[in-house]
Amino acid sequence: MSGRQTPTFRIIPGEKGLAADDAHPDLRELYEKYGASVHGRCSYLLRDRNQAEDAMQDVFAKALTHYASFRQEASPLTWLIKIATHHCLNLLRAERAGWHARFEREARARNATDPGPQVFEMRELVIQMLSLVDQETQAVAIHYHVDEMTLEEVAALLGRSVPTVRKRLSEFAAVCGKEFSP
Amino acid sequence: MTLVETTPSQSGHLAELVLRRYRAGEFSTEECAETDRHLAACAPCRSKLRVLVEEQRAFERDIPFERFAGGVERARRVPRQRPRRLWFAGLGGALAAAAVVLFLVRTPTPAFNRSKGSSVEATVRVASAKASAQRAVPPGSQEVLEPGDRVRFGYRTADPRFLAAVSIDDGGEITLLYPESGPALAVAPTEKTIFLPDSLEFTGAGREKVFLFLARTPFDSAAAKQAVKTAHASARGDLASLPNPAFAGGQQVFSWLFRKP
Repeated sequence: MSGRQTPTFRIIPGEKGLAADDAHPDLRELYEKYGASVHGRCSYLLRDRNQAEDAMQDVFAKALTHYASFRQEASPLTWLIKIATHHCLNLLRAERAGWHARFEREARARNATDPGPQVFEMRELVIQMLSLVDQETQAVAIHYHVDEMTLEEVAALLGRSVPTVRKRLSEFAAVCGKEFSP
Repeated sequence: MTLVETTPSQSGHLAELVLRRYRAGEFSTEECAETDRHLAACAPCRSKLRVLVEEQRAFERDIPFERFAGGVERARRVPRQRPRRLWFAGLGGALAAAAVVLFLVRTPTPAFNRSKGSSVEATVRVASAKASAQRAVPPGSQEVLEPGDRVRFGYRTADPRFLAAVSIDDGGEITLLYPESGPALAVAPTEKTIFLPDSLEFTGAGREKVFLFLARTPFDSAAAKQAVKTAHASARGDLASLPNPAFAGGQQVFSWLFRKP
């Protein structure tokens, strides 16, 4: 809607779009190798089918925009997961601002019931706790607890030192509980 | 440099990201051989890998390549933008609050559309960037917007309802306005007009049609979005002749057509 100067995707005669197989030989490969992984990360964080698909498209669009450097990555998947995580956390932060948070608070108050004992996997526990910490700590927690990367791997991925990553994980554990201790 | 170790973690199992990279074919011959050896001896990791393979199959069933490619191309050409929400965002709180008070206090009675026997009403107020005056726009109207015009949606209902607002532009781009995702908003009966939070500024050119759904039963905003998509297809993309979308839930639908500056 707003901000769009051009219509949605359509094939214009005389101009090949990316939907054509031979227009961009790598897109189908990206789709088959990484589609589910990126879509899975977006779905996990956004919890909304439409938003997740939009976000996944945004991530692959970024990959194509920076395709030369993307191809040089030691692990394109790790790069995509990092971008997807960052993108979705940004979307969540934007959504939490303003009226959305107010409305959700009111809705929670209306629907406040005891959910009873529930068993969550680690990834579910992590996402329940994300809103309690800042965005960098969110990213660290996701890569460490959900992607099961090591401290060193998370540090290399996010361009932070190992002590910084450890500190973020300790902060996350302090807020959320000792089961999250690094 | 390899970012993810291919050796098993302290748990004795391969990390999920390692298995994903293995499935994607990112590993060298040596890394593949090492992973193969682990998989041959580790049933849980083999099982996890099978889940990842099936996950990709399900993804390809749900989102065919053509749809994926079209969406990526669209996102690459035109970065996605949300409508600009004003008054509560960015500006000083006092200024924003004052603007809202002015908006609510100084406006005349809204121009509601109320069909005979209906217990639900809806309206739109447009606040001009140039003048202090605001204008009411009843549903079913066409409205020409000036640069900086801000739009706010209001409703009044005699019984509990579930609300969602969806917009579509000339290009067929559909945006969930309220809520931005998830279940429709539960709204309580009210004698006074309730304006939805924030005001919207439609940027860009062309037309924008907005539908406000007020249903008696709960529904998901995705259903409203899908209904608009179906209606758009049936009208062959002509916003002016776009019928009110319909879906299960006994909803009442109000619509406005805006011509953007």
